[in-house]
Amino acid sequence: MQLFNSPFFWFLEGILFCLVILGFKVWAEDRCVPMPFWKWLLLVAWMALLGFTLAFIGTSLGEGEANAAVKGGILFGIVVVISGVGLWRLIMIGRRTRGRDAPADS
Amino acid sequence: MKSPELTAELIKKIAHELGSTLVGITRLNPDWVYLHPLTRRGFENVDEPLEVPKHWEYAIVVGTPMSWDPLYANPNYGTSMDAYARSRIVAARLVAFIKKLGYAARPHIPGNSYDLMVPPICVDAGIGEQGRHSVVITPELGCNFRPAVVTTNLPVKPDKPIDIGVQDFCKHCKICAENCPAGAIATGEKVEVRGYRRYHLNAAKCNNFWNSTLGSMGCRLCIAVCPYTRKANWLHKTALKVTTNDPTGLSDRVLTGLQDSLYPGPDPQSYYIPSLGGENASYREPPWWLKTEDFVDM
Repeated sequence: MQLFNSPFFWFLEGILFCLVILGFKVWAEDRCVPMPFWKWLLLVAWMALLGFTLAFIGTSLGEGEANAAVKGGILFGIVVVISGVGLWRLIMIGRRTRGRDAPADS
Repeated sequence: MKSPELTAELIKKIAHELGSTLVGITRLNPDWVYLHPLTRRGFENVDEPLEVPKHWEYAIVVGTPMSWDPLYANPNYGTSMDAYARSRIVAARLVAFIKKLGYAARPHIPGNSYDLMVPPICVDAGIGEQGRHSVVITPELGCNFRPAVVTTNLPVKPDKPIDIGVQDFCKHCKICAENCPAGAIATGEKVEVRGYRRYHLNAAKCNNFWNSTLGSMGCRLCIAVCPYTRKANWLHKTALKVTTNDPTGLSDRVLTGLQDSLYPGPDPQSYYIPSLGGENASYREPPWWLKTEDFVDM
């Protein structure tokens, strides 16, 4: 448990977060998905919601509240999934296909 | 002493050094002194009304928390005595320190060495606000603490009462009242008691249940279930920040609803012992070291 309270954990967490954002940027460029600022804002907000949900589950388990972890995980998890699907559709707005032969879902 | 401000700073520093988590100072309101003194404290006739000694000008409140895990396992596994013991040691040492400075001082300490009511003094000293369950709620520990008081004539700058939003919160929350097995906590509005407005507590009902439990004596369920008493991690601290700073009261209701559904306890009747129709339940499982059946061959 000491790991989660240490600065090293947050250092790793920051590196992972940067890698996820960088990876998404590369993916979006590769798939010709335009990413204006409002899409980035929504994406960061959604990631914060996802992080909150995971942290809620972990914290609840850590303080011995398994019931809260399950119920909260389901409640916030549903919100994360629904908002994630909506966000995906928004992100895909304005997507260009690379060439004439490129299949629609590539 | 050079100044009351510096003395207050010194007393707080010393109290923290002596092990107190909470410290507050107030001028002693004589309304909070018992009408009759308790025995064995030097008053000649306990049948005569207590005349407040002249040197009880100020009251210094100290407080320490009860162990968290046993607290959540009330009414069977918790105890007030761990915090009471720490607070009384701090108060006794503080009295010795004040006397060394050349001033009078008297500790009012648990179990029965009080000659005054402590919760309103905590409120006056800015330690916290009194909740629906009559227990004082602090920003640092919620209501998970046990206090002691030192009365003195040491000139010291008093603190002011604080407002952390408890009055608004308790108006809507009522979780303590709904979970009180004795039904001792009022669900209605505040009433006037001897000139002061507060939520009514049926002390007889509370005391009856308090003395009926099989554990280390006591109940403390209202403290265990209070949303302010949840452990001070990022989740509960954030929730309290939101409710404290939301003037609409909307977040109070949302978060109280979440507390009700995410952190439910047993049915209040089940806290009673079997002979009184209950199951001897606890609010939460005890920590491993209190599950004596794991160690004792029965």
